[in-house]
Amino acid sequence: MNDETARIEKYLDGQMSAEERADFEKEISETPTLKEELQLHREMRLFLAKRDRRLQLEQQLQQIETEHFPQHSQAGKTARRLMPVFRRNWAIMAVAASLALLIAAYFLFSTSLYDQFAVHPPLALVEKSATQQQLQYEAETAFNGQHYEQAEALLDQLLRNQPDDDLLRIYLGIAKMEVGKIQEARALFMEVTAEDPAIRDFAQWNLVLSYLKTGDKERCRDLARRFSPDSPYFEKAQKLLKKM
Amino acid sequence: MKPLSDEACLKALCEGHSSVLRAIYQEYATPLKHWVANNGGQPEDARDLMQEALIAIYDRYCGANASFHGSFGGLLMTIAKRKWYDRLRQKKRETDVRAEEVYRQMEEAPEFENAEEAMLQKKKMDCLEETFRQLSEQCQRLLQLYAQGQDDAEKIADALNMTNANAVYQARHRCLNRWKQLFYEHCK
Repeated sequence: MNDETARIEKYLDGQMSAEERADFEKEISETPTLKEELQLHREMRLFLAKRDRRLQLEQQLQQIETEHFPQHSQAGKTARRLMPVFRRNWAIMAVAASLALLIAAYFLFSTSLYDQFAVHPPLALVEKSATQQQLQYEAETAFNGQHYEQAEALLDQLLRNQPDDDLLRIYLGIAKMEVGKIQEARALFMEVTAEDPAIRDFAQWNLVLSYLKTGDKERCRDLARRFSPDSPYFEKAQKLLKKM
Repeated sequence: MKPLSDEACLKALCEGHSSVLRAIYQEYATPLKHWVANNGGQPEDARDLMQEALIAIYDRYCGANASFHGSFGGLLMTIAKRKWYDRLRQKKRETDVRAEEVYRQMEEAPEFENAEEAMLQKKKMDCLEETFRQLSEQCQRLLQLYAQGQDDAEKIADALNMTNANAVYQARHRCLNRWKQLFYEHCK
């Protein structure tokens, strides 16, 4: 199996000469195992090309489904079952208290790391029209002054008037992330489809921050690893990965 | 509200338009919940089936060289039913009669073959995801960089702290072989 990897990749990359290619295709047609292996390479490439979007889609669906399928929280059920046990058993309570302290320490750590990295660039809106000027000015002042609740309302209003503006969408997401509306923030970051890769990466970086904020390190790492070396966020992401 | 076209649903799924995805849930979540309830399941089962079916459609019909011209809703419901049939078959306590009734219903659906194909593709993609996660962090990053179109091996070497381009080629070869080995061990 292993010996074929280089040849298959060369074939798929279009780097074989015409003669080499013809010979290889003949061999494929005569060798079912080679044909199967070539198909696997094609599937692997397809998988890698679609993986980011697939993971995003899973997140999106998980968020949307909560609106249509009531949550039967296992955590809630567990908590209810545990209450009488806690009253009876002080030893278990002590263990639980220690665990709670550990969890609290973990989140404190995550939050401080979030604070280190969540340094948002100032909002500077391009003036769209005279009627929007006042609203834009107020949104900028609120966001740059870190009055995120106020900024959220103003940016929401602006985005309604300019639904195609992906930068507005990202800044509204940041405001929501800062006031704790994480799911809504993630949905906004994931909706960004700008052609400009810098804007898409800005959304992606904030998605990374959203997972850092909630302490989901696995997802945070996974997303942080995806910036290409050409991205303006590559270095930041590498630093974050090292610190995690 | 204007009904969603099959094309609009598929496009939204492929490109991640939240508002249309919400509309898809709006339209199909309730009928699926009712169907699952009538066939021995709970709302949580319907929720899982809905997500699995949408991901299966994404796996099979999003991307280059993929096209679909049938009914999006029909396909969604058929995959969900087919998945439910598999679950019923897996539960020993369930009667075969119920499973067979479910099978009869979906076998007659016009989207049956497309649903089967989508489920097979999802299974393959799930396996690739599972085995990809078992690769080292460096392997994952290297393969992702190639997939993102980064084919300058020197740049990749810099990004991954590797000695030179040759080391990158060798590592890529090793990573692909390891991934294939894992795939054959776990998914065949």
